[in-house]
Amino acid sequence: MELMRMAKRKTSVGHKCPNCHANLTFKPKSQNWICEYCDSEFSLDDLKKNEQKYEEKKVVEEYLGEFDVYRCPDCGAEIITDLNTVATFCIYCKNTSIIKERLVGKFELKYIIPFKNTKEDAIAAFKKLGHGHPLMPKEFADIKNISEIRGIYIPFWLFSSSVDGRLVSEGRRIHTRYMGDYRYVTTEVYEIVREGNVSFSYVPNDGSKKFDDGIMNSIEPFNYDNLVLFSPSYLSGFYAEKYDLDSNEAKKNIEMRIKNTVSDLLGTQVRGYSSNTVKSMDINYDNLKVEYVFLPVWFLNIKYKDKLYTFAMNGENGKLIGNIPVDKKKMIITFLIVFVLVFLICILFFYIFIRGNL
Amino acid sequence: MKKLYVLIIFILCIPFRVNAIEACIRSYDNLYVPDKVEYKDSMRDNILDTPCVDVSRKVYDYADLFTIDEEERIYDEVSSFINRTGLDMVVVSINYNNKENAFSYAADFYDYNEFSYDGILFLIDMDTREYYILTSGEAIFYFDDNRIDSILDYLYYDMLDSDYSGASFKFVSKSLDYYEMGIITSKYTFDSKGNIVRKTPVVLFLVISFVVSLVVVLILKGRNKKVKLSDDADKYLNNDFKLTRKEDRFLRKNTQRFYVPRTSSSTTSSSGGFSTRSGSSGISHGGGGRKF
Repeated sequence: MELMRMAKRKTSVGHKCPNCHANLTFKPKSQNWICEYCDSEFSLDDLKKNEQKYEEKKVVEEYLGEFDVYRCPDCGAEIITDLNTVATFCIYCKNTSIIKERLVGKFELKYIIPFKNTKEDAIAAFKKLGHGHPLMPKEFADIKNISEIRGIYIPFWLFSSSVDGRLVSEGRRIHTRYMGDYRYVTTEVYEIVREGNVSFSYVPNDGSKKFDDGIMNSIEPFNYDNLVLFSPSYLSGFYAEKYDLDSNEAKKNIEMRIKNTVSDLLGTQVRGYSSNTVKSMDINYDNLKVEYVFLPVWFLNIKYKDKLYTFAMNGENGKLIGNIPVDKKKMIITFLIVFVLVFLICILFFYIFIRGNL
Repeated sequence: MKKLYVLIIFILCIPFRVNAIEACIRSYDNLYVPDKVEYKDSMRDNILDTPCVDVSRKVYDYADLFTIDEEERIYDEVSSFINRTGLDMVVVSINYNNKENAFSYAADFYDYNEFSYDGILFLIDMDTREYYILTSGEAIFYFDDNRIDSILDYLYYDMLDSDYSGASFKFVSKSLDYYEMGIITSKYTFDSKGNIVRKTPVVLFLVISFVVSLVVVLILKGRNKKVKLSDDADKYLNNDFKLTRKEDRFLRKNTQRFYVPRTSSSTTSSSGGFSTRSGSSGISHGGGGRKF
């Protein structure tokens, strides 16, 4: 009974081919949508023209606490999602379901960077993980270790602002001179004030508590020249999440980052002191703009020797991030090789240049 | 006339007396280079200028400072030193130094004759009025700078008093004392050719290798850790930084006075130090000399 009372009507849409009504998939390479059934390709404009022709299918959502249940508009199967899911797949017919209710009101998106690289690119990048990481276990970068790979549009907050910074510190200049048997040390104390103005654009902070902030920080930066106006069509073929960390919470992280950068900038303007201690550092935001956007990230879940590793690839520039395990055997061998090599070089150098040179 | 003959014969005899200690006559064709010297053409003139002596005599009194009796007694002392230590020992006196200085004479004399590689030479150079102790090979390790100095000190008043035989006896006995006190440092050793070389600091190299390989492995390990929280926004900075206020306000000043007694700049020689130099033969020698 309670379930029935909580029930709400929600819609879930996929994107249909204007020709054959099959589901469309977004192709990062061409930045177009293709129909795998009738082999047609559509641009965003084509889709928009056709969109109103089709009625959105309605599905019933039941409230199940942490999860929501939808009906797949294509096959009628139940789709269980968590509360933040915006786009997902029906596990039966594999079609994309987009929950539009989660893209309206305060969740309305303005911009998105569409995926520029494919699942295959992510796999290829993973296979090349050994390059430059000699301590990685050899079998780690094997495709068979990839237990799951998902392209997810992650909700991000982008902050742009002009910032006024004020740094107050106490500087000391120390002079030493000698007279007779005495040393005179003179300490001059100054109050140093530096104020400056600088602007930041699009400092990102992910709006999802679910994803590790370290990973999200590490796949930065995205090239914001690739931001385009949002259309739900971009979500087809990918997962998407709405934010559950609001802009005020995200702002705390961003402020910390901005403050550190401004503090460094002003700090470099303090010169000519033997020592200085920062007394205060204040920043003021002027013209603060916050943008809610989706940024593309490939997630790779790697299972290696019964341990799970999460890798993330920047869906725009292909930067693959994740903690790579260290092969202890390789570490010891590397240690020994370097040890012997350095030792031999020392001996050689000693014999050639130092030993007989008395 | 008779007196003149006697004089001529006497004068003729002097070179014979000197020549008696010569074992050979060096010439361009035969330089009599000892095995311990690696011959180079640049050494030729120096070799030709160096007397070639009978190395068993040990006492070469060119300046005629000792009586025959003294010479024999010095020879006995030197022989017993050689027997007890296994080091060679030579006592030389000269009236005329045809080399650069006392050191070069001593070094060339020792190196270009078949004396043992390890040994000690005492030179009394009446030409430059310097007495010099030269050590070679293993002897360098028994006679560091401090010991050489103390031997030179010990002989000084005898040298001033022209008691050259007394100085020679003291030289031999003091040398024996120091030999019996043993080697001072373990920093030096000999290579297969018998040259003095620094001992290989194996422990130091092991430590260096350990530290370097540790750093390399830690760097490589660090490269595998890719996930890091960013704590700055440097990447998102627009290049429009403007400094709007720059103020350095003087607050206060204080001066402290510290008493610093002037220290003299003389450096004390560290014990166990060796200063070695090479003569024309390229063999390193320790030792030192003093004017008298």
